[in-house]
Amino acid sequence: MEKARLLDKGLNELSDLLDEMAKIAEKTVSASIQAYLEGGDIELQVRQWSDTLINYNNQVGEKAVELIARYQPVANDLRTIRACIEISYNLSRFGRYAYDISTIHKTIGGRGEYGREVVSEMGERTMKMIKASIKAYRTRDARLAEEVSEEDRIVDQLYFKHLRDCVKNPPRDVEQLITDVLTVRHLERIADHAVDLASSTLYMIKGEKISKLR
Amino acid sequence: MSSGYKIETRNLQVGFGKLMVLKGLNLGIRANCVTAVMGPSGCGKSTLIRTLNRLNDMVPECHVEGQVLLDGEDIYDPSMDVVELRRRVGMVFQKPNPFPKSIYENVAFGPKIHGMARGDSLDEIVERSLKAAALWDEVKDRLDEPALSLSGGQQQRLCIARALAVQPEVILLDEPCSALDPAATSKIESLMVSLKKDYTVIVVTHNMQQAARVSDYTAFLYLGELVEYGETRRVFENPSSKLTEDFITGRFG
Repeated sequence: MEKARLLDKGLNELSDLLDEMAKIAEKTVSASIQAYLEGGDIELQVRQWSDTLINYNNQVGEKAVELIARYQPVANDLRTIRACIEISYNLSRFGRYAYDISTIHKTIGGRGEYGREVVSEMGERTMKMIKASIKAYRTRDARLAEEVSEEDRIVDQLYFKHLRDCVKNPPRDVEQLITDVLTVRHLERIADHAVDLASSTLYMIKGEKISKLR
Repeated sequence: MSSGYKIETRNLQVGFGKLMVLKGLNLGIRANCVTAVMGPSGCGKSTLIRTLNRLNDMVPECHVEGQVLLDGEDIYDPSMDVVELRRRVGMVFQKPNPFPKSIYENVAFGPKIHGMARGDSLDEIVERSLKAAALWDEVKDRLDEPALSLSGGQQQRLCIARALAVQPEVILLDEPCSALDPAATSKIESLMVSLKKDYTVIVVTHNMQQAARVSDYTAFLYLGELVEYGETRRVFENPSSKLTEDFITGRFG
């Protein structure tokens, strides 16, 4: 028999904040990858979304501290609050790296065919990881959360392969080299944050994190 | 002492008349640790710790089956000296209950009846016990004053000093802070943690946060059964039983 608790209202508020953040984070990363591949200046828009995420992340931190101070949560409640703090941070990092991707072209220039394929593939896989990690959190799906870290191995392989390719066979255009390398680097970081997000979700569900055996 | 536990219950069953309160408890209490026993009212917490120094002997119709081992020795064995048992396993109750005597006499009472000390060495025992109970500094200049003139929190620490004076091995505390204000509670909690260096401490508490703060191990009893028992950190972060989870997160009833 479940009974209404004062803490539940606060946990629901945290959950609502995270839902809102997840929506924004997903579209922010997606838009920045698309702009890289297809052109278009979305830096300002992405900046705005990224700032909103940072703002929400602060709100989550404030709310979480309040809940800990007022209700001294334990067990599943405590794990949920810790996970919310971590997940919210990871979502805000998605926004920040998306913003970085959106500024590279303006800062450095050089957006051509050289790294297009790897950015496209890494972008697709990274988006898939973001969606899966968010879905795993929403649906409390431990299995799906673990799959996210498996996908990350492929993203890492693509990243290091691209770096080696650049060394072996660098493009003549240095600007393009830097732009591509930075972009895949940011995508690789975003993918890592998706793994962290999934790991926090797994902790929330089972009390253990994804073991980083790589 | 084969088990390595200071106290161990084996299939412990305790009832009063037809009512069974503890239904086959197997619990190993580690030495020099604070073990908290929690659970809702009527789960058998107090019955359990009162069984550990045979206080229930005085309750008519109380019957005990199974074993309670203290250092591997069955305390319900007919050869057990119950007075000596209660010296080894001391108890502090929910409501402070000093004797209507002076502060000094409260602490000296046990050593006197156990013939443990006379004269100067009695003074030493009183001082040592009051210091161990973190009360000495507050009462050292007024040892002849009535114990009942102390505040509730001081009275409770006096009761702990009284229990320590007979050099026990185990201290049982039954809701020791539920009649105290937060400041006094905080002092008793610090005291419980410092006592484990020299004693094995078992505390029954309704206050889950108190269990979380002071104990190394936590046992959760429900309807006379041991639902969960483990390291306090794990029980409060990731309990293995749904029942424990529901109880400590306040989803019960």
